[in-house]
Amino acid sequence: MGLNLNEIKRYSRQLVLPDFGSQQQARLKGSKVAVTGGGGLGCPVSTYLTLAGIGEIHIIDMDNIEMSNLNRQFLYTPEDVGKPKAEVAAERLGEVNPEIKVDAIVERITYDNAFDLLKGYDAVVDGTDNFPVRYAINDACAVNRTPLFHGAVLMYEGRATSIIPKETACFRCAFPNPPPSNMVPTCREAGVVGSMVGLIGSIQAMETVRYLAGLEIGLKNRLLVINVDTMEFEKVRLRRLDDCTACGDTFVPRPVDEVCETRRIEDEQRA
Amino acid sequence: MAIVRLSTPLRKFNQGKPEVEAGGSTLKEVLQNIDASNPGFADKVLEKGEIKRFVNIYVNNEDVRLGKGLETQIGEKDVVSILPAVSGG
Ligand SMILES: [Zn+2]
Repeated sequence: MGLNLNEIKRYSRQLVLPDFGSQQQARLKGSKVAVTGGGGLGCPVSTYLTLAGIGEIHIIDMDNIEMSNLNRQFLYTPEDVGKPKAEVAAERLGEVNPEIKVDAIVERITYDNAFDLLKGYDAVVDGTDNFPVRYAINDACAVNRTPLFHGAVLMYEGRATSIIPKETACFRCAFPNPPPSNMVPTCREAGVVGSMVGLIGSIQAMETVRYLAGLEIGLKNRLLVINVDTMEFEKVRLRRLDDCTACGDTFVPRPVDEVCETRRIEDEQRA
Repeated sequence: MAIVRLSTPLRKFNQGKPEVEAGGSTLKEVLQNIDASNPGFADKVLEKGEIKRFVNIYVNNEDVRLGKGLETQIGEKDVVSILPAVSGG
């Protein structure tokens, strides 16, 4: 897939990078990526994928824009409140880079539909905000053998890892079980600042772009843990488990239901 | 003394602080020593003498579950990180 004159001008600052040229740019142009969630992580992820020149981007989000999103979700304005995030984001990003295709999928991801919904992509980048959907996306990508670029935040703490099927640990290898919902609050409950999700989303986009361009990436089998209150960055080692129910020898569907998970743990603790 | 880094959900059991220094020659002793100055801490991380199934503990960036677990030897200046999964976005 060759590059036109507009593309050569638009991407000139990355085309001069020593390890990046028209061949890598053409790979990005030929790539199709799903961004799950058009929120705090989804905005920086989809923006940087758009700017980098990923040929086709699908933004999957069911939610409408709320005023409380605007401290971090920079693709939206007060006039957009009430409109579907995916549609507004896709339209805006299509204007930012007319050389690529950005589409909206206004649908809620569930354990049942994730496998079909996420089929046929060169990569999935996860910017969702809860455990049931995150485990659904992880399991779907493991079964579909689609690379998954994970990122998550809680207050001033962020995480990222890059999951390459059959090669690296998946999210379930790292965390076979979610914590009870009373232990780990959501962004709605605990709070989040825009630059925090911006930082993690940028890292997810960077890994995705480098991977799709055919370059080495640094978060295979590594979980990056960032705490911005101490500015401590650490990378812990992850290992792929042969008996992982998602990416191991035998796939076992294990939908996560936060409420039940919590109850089960409390029951175990009482026992 | 080992340096123990706590993920955000666990900091409320350490007076809100992100790190704590604790002595001990094994991971189990380190956790017990933290609990001695922060009563209730061990309950958040351990269950029936094992690491809770949704908590990961790394010593110098290695998952102790894939090694010696609570019997992991801890040396001076080793870094212990305690992490449950987080999901926000
Ligand atoms: Zn796995």
